[in-house]
Amino acid sequence: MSKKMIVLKSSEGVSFVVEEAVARQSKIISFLVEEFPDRELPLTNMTSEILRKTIEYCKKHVVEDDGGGDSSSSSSGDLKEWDVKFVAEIDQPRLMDLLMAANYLDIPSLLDVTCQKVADTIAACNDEKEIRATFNIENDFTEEEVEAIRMENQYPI
Amino acid sequence: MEEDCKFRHWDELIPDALGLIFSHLPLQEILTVVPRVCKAWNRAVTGPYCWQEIDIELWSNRCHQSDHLDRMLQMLINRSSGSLRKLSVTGLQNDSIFSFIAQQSGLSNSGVVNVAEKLSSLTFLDLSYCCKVGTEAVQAIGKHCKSLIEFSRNMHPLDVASVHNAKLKRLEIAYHQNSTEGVLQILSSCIFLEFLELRGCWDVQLDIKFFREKFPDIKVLGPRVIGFYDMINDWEDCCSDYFSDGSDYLAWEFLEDGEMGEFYEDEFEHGWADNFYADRVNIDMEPHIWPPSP
Repeated sequence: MSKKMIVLKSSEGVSFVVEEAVARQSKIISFLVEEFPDRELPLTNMTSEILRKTIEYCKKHVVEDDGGGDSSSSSSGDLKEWDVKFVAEIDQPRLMDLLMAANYLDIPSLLDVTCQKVADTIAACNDEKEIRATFNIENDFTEEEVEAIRMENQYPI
Repeated sequence: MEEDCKFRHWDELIPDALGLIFSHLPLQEILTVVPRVCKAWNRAVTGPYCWQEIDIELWSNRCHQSDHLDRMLQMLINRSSGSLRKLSVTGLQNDSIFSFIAQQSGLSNSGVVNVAEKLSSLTFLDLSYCCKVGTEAVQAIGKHCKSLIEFSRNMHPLDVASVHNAKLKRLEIAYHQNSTEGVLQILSSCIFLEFLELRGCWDVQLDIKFFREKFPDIKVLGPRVIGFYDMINDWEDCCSDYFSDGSDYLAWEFLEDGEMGEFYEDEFEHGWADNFYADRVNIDMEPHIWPPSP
């Protein structure tokens, strides 16, 4: 029996043909597939590049329940290692796009690894100045506001 | 998402995504550095998205001033604005903070007996070392918390546990003064029970053969107190060596408090993380120091 395929369309109109089991790791797609079977699903807020990345992740994480032998395509240790490598190779702007895609498509495990990667980057910074520089964030506080926050956050940590 | 744009506006991320990111950071980082970055980040850490799950177990283990702990809890729970789903904290010293937690978590009324009625959807509850939570309260929990699947109440030796809850799968009642009949009563009323911890319940004498015939599906730990590694490695030993001379707890003395905390967490991760329940409350009144038997 051949596997059921579905078509996802990126913002540039590029179509991606994906196994249903792979795409169903997104709770949103899972829902859409049930509501609109046999239709192309337009993902207008996702570029081809990010959609390709997302599909790559889902392919790796799909649980093969129809074949005999191993229940999943990789052991959990290998998979973790693969995840770390996967997010390490992504530059910062695309990391944010991927995080947003995971959030939008509701893929909890991808959201978790991308959030973890951002958190690690934040934790590696020495202070707020370095964080602003790393993430290209403008300091929109006045002197008084900075002082107010400092007072507010005096906890015995 | 502009393909060509080199930068993304990390300050414009939606607050729930920011909350998710920040929840991966250590407590100190979230409270001191993050709010100073920009207004959007400050709003995100003072809002509820960061605090649907509050885990300050590590911090509270080191915090020995109860007013600090209370202040921290009040602040964080206020930030969660009623959206609290999970709380891990140790060392709570009084009833008022427990009532506060219960109230702010969308529950009402003070005192566990009253609170228990409102906790009917709770699936996990750890009330270990909560000395001021009495037998009456534990009975009320058994009666009202119909969905409870895991219940931990490991104590200093002072109490008799009386739990009758048909759905319960995991029950920990270490160092209780229950009699053998008492335990058999619990076993016959908790028909779905899979795991029962009896370490340090010295009055309990289970006939291993009788027990295995009558309750083949239940794993029992104790009453003998043994080292943590043994416990993890060999269930058989736990069951067959249950007659104890009461001296085995000495093994614990080689461990520092900090190490204990780590072991406990380890167990937490491997044992329970897989079946995470949204409505968990994990409240230990004192740090994880296993008390020696009297």
